[in-house]
Amino acid sequence: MGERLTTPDRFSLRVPARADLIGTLRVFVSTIARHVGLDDDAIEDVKLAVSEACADPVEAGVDGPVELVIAADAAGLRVEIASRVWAEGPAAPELPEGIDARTFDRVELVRALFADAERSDEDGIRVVRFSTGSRASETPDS
Amino acid sequence: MAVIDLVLESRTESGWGVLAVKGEVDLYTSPQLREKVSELVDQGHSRLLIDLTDVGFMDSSGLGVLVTGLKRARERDGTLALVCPEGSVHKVLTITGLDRVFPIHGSVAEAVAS
Repeated sequence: MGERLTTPDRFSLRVPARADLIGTLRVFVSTIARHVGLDDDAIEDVKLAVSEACADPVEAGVDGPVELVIAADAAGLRVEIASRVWAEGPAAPELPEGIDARTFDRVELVRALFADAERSDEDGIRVVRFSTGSRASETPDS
Repeated sequence: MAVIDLVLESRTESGWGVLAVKGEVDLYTSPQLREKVSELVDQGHSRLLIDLTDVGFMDSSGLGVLVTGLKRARERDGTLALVCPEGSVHKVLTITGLDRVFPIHGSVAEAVAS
């Protein structure tokens, strides 16, 4: 389990766990991503990963806020999305034959975008973290 | 606060029920899309075409709506196809493998001619 981000170039935004605020978090992270020079494709991946990671606790109806923390350095961004732990994940939609339920596992989708993505629970806080340096399209075997 | 609008416009074209979607599809806006897709299926459109050309962002909430719509269309011996040019939305379909589930076209004209 990694330590919480504490670098000097650290940005954070804490919002109530509401669906209408997920777009605000996307705008926030994309602004910083653009500021540090990520290209458009990478920015879109970061937005998607943040949206997925934030939607999980919102959909589960957690109490308390969702916090997005971003550390920026020469290697890109390290991103954390933190919320209170919830007991059960949201149900997948009714699926037609031939579609795997894992398609709708939001953390799996984040991992498909960023190879180092992980989810951990500590002291009642659930954190999803990833770094743009592990972006799938930037790895040698992608 | 970022206000996210989703614009949904439906029409019939060459026997297809066409739903043009504009905006961002996420956990907040996907219920609007779900309701509209259900409405079109209930109206008897057995061939439904969702035009995602002007969707700037879509996460798995939107994918869930599309998959549910496909299931409902198939239950009525119909189909649900997508118009989705290359870009970020197309990438979401690809990394989830749903590009192998939905017929995907580059334009409405191409889709209705197929």
